[in-house]
Amino acid sequence: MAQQLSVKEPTPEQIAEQQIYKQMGVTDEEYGKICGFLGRKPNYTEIGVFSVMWSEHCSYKNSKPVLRRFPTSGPRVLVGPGEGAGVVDIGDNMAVSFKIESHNHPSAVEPHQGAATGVGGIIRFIFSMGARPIALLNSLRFGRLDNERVKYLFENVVGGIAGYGNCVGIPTVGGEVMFDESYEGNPLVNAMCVGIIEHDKIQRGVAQGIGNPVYYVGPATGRDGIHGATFASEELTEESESKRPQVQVGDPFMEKLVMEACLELINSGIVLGIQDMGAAGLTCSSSEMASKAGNGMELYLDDVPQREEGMTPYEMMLSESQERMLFVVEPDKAAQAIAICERWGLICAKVGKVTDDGRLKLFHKGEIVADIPVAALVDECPVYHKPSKVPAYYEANGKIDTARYPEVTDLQGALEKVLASPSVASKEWVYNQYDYMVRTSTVVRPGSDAAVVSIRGTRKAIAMTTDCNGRYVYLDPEVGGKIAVSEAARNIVCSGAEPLAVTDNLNFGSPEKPEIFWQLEKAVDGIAEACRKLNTPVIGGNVSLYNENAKGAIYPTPVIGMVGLVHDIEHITTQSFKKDGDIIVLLGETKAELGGSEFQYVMHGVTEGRPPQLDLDAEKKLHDAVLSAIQAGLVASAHDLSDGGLAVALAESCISGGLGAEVDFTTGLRADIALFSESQSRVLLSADPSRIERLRQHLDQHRVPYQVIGKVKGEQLNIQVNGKPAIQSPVERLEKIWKDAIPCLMK
Amino acid sequence: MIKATVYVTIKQGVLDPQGNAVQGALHSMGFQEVSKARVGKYIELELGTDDFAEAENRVKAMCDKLLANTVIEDYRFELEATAQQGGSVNPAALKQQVSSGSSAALSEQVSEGNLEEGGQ
Amino acid sequence: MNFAVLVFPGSNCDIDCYKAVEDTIGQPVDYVWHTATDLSPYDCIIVPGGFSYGDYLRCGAIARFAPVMNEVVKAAEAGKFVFGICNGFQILTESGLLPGALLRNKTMKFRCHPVTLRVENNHTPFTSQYAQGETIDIPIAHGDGNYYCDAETLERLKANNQIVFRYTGENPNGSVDDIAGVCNENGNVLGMMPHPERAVHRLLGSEDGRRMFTSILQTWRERHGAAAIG
Repeated sequence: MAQQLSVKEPTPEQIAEQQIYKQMGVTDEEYGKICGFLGRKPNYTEIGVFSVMWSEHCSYKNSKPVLRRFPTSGPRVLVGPGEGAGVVDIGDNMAVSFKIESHNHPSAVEPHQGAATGVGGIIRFIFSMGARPIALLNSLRFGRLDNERVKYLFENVVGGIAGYGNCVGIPTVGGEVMFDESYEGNPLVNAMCVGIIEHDKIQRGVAQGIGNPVYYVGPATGRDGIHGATFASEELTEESESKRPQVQVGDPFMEKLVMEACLELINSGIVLGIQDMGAAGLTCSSSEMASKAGNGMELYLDDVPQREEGMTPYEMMLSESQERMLFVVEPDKAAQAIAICERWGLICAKVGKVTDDGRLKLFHKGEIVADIPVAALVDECPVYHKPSKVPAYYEANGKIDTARYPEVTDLQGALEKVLASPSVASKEWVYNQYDYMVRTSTVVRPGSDAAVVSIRGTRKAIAMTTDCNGRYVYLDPEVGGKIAVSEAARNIVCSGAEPLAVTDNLNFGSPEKPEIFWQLEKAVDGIAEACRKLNTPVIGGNVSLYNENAKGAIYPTPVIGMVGLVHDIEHITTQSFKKDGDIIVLLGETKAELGGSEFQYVMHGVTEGRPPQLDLDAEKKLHDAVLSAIQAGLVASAHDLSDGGLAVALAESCISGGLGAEVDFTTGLRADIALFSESQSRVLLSADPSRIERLRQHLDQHRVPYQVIGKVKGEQLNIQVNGKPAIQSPVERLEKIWKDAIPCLMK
Repeated sequence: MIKATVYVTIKQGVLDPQGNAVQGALHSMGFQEVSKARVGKYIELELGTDDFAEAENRVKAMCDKLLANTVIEDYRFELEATAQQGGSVNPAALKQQVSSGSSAALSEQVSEGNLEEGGQ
Repeated sequence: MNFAVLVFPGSNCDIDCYKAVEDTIGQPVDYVWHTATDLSPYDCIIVPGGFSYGDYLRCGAIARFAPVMNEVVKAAEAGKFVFGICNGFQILTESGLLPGALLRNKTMKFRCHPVTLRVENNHTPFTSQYAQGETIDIPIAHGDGNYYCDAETLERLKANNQIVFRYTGENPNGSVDDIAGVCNENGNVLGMMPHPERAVHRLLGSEDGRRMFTSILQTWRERHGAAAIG
């Protein structure tokens, strides 16, 4: 009677005649190739397996040529792109593994579970490398917060992240949230996980050793999320809402058990290869593990733990049920592996074996139900070189002079408006829902430039951040890409750390549109150039295309996740002013650059013109100067200037330190531009008066332009521009505006 | 087979933040007539017995020990004869209701049955 | 003095408690699995925070039936120190070792941030090194920390001086009478929602939790006539 659930599958002939493959996102050309690889027409299971492996999500078929432009190697890189997550050396036989991944489409449909399973997936990438996850970050984008649907998405995405991360017991220590109508209907939910590992424990997802058994650990497979990888590679439409069955449900408790069991398996030294079952589930993990070892794999689908009755091979292979892992051990170590899994209360089943014929063979009910060359699935997906075209808006924006806006004279009012803008306002409402302290290693909590997590038993710590200003990237993808990397590195440096490497999450619209593909190409060029200059190779990442809504594509948003190394915990620095009398120094040059700024958006209601320009040489010099000044003990606080410019940076340093400041900024610019320009390569430092001479000498030596602009004082933020009062406000008042903005909107 | 349906709710008099939130939301959506909302848990248990008296005792024990925390929660449950595995629904399925508290009210009634469920 | 840190499936502050014991008082400490049936070597049993059994059904409801909990009850009866933090507090109320229960936060949201506590009773083994009425800075991280007990129980708690900590300033979860932590009548079992093990180092933002651990050691030494200070 259970059989009633399974619909009769189309035959190979029906798949061909009715072009059923098209419903799975496979083109005529691709179908032809598949027939060629098989030497016959694929059956329903086989075409399903191909469709997910050849989706953009798994194959990067549209982005591969562009991704090759990234620098991916460096003296510290132990594992680069291609494995679950990259790994970077931090000395003393220790390494850090990290990766960012998107869950945009699932979160648009079911925000709580979409975000939760995004977090779950990225954690599995890290522990499947053998690393102990130590921190999570999230980069989020939503539409404007005055929209009810946006509020619903925001509330539930944050709740989903909190519910999952808190339960697994990995602190969510940082990230960013920005709001702009461009993301309405297509929010971005990018989750990043960072783990620590000893060099000799690094795992690879390889199916080694002919004849070795393949084990499945984790909860039983259900019908959830079938075709999730394909879904992630399509545009969101009105119908997306009705695609709800594709959304998987996360079980963080199960994840915690699977994580502990897998780390124990790995530490016991018996695992030869391990990989998570993420997008495209069993299909992707089995074929990739076989491919990386140059082997084949047989799977006995009757032995796959199943949650529902009557599951077909197609359903089992494509299910995206969460919290599942696949691993290979030697036959005589199997009992030990099973015992470890059972101790954690987990199902562990032998579902296959490694073969030498380079084929993925699936058996079900005594029959062979699929027989595919592994290489065809993993390596032979067609790669597309999409046409690219400069968009008209880009040309038009070149003619807009943002310095010509009528002058805003109420600067106090402008600061208050910018501070209350949800993108700039305090994100306490968000991060207070995250357990950012569990594991008691979080030294710099959310809200500063970069989060810092100490490594027990050493003097070292890891700094981490995510950054991207989609408005800049929209206005000029190449410059915007450079800025994303530079700002991330600046945040890392301001926290007292040396930037190590990058993981990127390329969130773009549909690559079928030449203007969008141009954005992708240019942004990647900018990112690649900045990564080269700043010595931060790209060690892995994720591509999320087809982020569109009824009004068009989202702002191109290549989120940069960056990790840095604090060589000694004494170097850890935060943005908050520390004490009365400290001298405030502004590093870098302030120019008339309002294009893409928060001030432009809030006060003039537009995003237009060219974004701030970036000189990578100046940027690199700045980083070297700031980091060495911090390491020399000359700096009390350091804060990167970004959204909202100098005025917002001063306000944030005052608010977080609970102190005021007396500032006079000398400039040739109009006061409103001077205070709110978002010129790059700038940092706000404060220093004890006794160290200020040494700091000056240090900055002179590094040939970094700077200006002493005032001192930390009292409880009021007083800013003058060229001796003329511009802003005078009790810090308490600014703090209230900044902190109340999001809670008020969410009530 | 007997199916037990257990409902666990926060006790009267104990703050129910979820209930309050639901009520507030309903009010803001214009459902002013909602004078109270309580949020609870719904638990289905399938019992391998046909003995209602035994089932009642056992489910009550389950509720007292695990399913409800009687410091803050009340419970009630219904017992219902269900189809055997692979069999058909007994049209005269018995339904029995039990509540927590000192006087566990016990009512028996013939259920309307849900004939669509089960075999096809 | 020997410490046990219990580990249930889903515990996640077990490491933090273990580290806190090591770092603050340097006493021997073991992780003890939920299936253990012998706690006799231990003088203090810490029931750590986390999400035991996923917090499914009710926080602490399933953990309370783990085999080790029978031993915890015995240890408590024998006068050993039992210290439940956050989820550990929930487990101790579920098991009946402490009165009351923990409800969903009034705000309905998980809350993680520092709070200020007032030490209401410094005559417990856990608080002897604090001053009576002292305010201390300890973080919270919970979604179900809203302590509830009926009026009669509350009167009894007050009469027996069982309220050990109260929130000062904003009550983060809506707990009855601002209660943050309570002990049993004998004072040897303490449960609290805030996390003292997260406040044991300057780098973590507060060191105010250290004295909970030093109090435990000092009290134990006094009671066992062992050499002070070590």
